[in-house]
Amino acid sequence: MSLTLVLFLAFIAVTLGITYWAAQRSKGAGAYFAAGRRITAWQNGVAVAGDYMSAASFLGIAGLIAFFGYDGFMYSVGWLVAYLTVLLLVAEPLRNAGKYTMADVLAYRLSPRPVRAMASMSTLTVSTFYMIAQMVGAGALVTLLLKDSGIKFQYAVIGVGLLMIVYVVFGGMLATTWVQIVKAILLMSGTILLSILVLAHFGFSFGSFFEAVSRVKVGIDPNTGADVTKDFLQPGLRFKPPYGALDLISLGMALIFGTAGLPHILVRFSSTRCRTRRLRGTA
Amino acid sequence: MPREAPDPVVKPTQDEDVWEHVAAMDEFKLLLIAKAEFVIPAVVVFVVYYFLLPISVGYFPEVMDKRVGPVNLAYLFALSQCFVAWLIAALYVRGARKFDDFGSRILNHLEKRDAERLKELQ
Repeated sequence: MSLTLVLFLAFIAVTLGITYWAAQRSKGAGAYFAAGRRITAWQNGVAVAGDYMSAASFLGIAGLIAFFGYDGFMYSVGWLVAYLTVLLLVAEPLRNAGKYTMADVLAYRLSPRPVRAMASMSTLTVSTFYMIAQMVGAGALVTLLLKDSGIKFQYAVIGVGLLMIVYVVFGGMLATTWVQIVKAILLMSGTILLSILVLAHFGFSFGSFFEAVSRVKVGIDPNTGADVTKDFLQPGLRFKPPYGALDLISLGMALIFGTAGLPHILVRFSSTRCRTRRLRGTA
Repeated sequence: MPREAPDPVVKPTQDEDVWEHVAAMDEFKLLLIAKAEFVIPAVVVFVVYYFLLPISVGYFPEVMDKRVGPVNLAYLFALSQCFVAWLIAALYVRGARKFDDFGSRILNHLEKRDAERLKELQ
């Protein structure tokens, strides 16, 4: 068995263990949907970070930066600033009302049935599109990781989907929170380790690192035989005129206002007990 | 969704007029003003500061590509977004203490009001 397969199976075993532990503890709707409001601010903060750091942020953004340099980097800036939208415009009113979901808050004040129907529709629509992208990413990643065992893409997607259903159905919010915490810590330590390794490659000098980034060899000129280089510091490798600037602005709007509306981020604010805890978590 | 079982003893705070009572309280009005005074300018500042980035990078790519030390202006501006975001979040955590203060004063007041009403009923 290869090392990747062992690590992959170990991760699944640990997360299923968490789910089993949470399933023993979750009794009733409050415990299931909002983890009995027992999650502390730090735990919830790390879990929000885990929700944020999806396959899209790690594989997608890394790939975009690798291909488009600065224009790919714009995605991570937008995601970061979107935390403020979550903190100032979403977290506060939602948690103050003491409800589980956005639909509960709206239904509390307005006519419940049509509000709930619309909210469920919008949640399902957003989640469906979000899930499709995540599942394709996860499937591609599992196929790549477990290349030696020859697993097909279709089976990888089905396997990942089944695992997700098991985590959520049996573990509820408590298990999802802990799985997100484990994921966030793993991803952050992995990223820090990778950054140190990359910097070590350049002798811990930012100067030579950015020097290399500004002159990446992309091929050889067939006529002269000289190296063709590309400057990955320069903006505009992806968003080119005539509409590049408008693309950037519309991307920015989608990132800073759209991320705050993701259903799995919205429900997370119901799982801590008191207001200050949650605020500290978001900060 | 199943309705919650009603409380055996109806508390005076569950009176219909409690919401109007709170809405008329000075502390509540001050709380709303304090929140609006922080949240509205903070949102305006971070939205404007954020959109300056895609606008400047999109419309003035040559200016933003100017080298500053090992990197260029565009990367420095993007990095500064992190610091602005952290600063606003830190200011909010500080301001939230004031909001909580108003909130607990309103709750104290309501509890006192409940106690007085209970005495009257008995």
